[in-house]
Amino acid sequence: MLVLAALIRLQPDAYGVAIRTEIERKTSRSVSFGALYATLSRLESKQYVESRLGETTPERGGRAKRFYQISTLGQTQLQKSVTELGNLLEGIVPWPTTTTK
Amino acid sequence: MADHDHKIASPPALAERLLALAVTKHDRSIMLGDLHEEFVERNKSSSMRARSWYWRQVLLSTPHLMRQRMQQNTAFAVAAILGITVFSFVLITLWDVYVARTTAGFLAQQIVQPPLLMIRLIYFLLQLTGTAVVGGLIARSLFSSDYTFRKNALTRLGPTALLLVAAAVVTWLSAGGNYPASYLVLRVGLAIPALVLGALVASRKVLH
Repeated sequence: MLVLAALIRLQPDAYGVAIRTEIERKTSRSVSFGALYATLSRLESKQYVESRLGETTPERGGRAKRFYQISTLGQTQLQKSVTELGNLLEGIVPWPTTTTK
Repeated sequence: MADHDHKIASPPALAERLLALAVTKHDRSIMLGDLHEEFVERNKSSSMRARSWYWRQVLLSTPHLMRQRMQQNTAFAVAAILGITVFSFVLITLWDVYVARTTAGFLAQQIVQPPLLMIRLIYFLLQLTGTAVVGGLIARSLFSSDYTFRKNALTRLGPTALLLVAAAVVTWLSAGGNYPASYLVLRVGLAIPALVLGALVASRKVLH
């Protein structure tokens, strides 16, 4: 769920370094690249995310970036998970509400 | 105008090679590129910290990557379990010879009339501690993020436990029966639970 949320926040520039930095920044949780890529691989196999290759750069040792974006199926799944979590927590903890204009 | 060092720093070569072995072919170039990019950024403030960070990433990432490869490739899974089993067994043997026996022998020499039972107990305690630590290392490598520890423990810890049994039997047979049966029972009977306990403790810490 954290990775999917980070993809939405960062799109269209969501790639490994940015995703990891965003998760650490927002959750104060340290994430290894191995854990991140294992998760992205699992999400991609479930078709929750899609990827495309970017350009190579010298700062990356001449290697390309891979940009990720959440798919429609991924967005649906994320929304479902958030709703289910909200239902579970209802009446137990204050659930943040968004105010709309 | 300040001179700029146009040479881009390179991550530790050995760490990079180790990581390349663990990561799948699909993600290899991309992940190494990400680590390289962040290493270059961190290297701007401190070269030593950047290298330390890189090694930490390799050590923390390897269990996740190995588990991913094991799920995708049966041959790799078998090779990984066998490789870790052999490595673990070598570790246990080295610990036994160079730490447990050396410590017990040193203690025995320091005391005029060594109480053999105490020396033997200290030796076994050290031996079991080393075995438990190896169990923890196995868990860290093979069970990371794996919520089916019990289901997989047999296939992943089993080979090492079998090797412990085999080594104990070989020792007993080669000594021409000089080792009493009670020694054999103690060595095998406690070493395997120590291995499993160490793996269980480490896997709980890893999973939660």
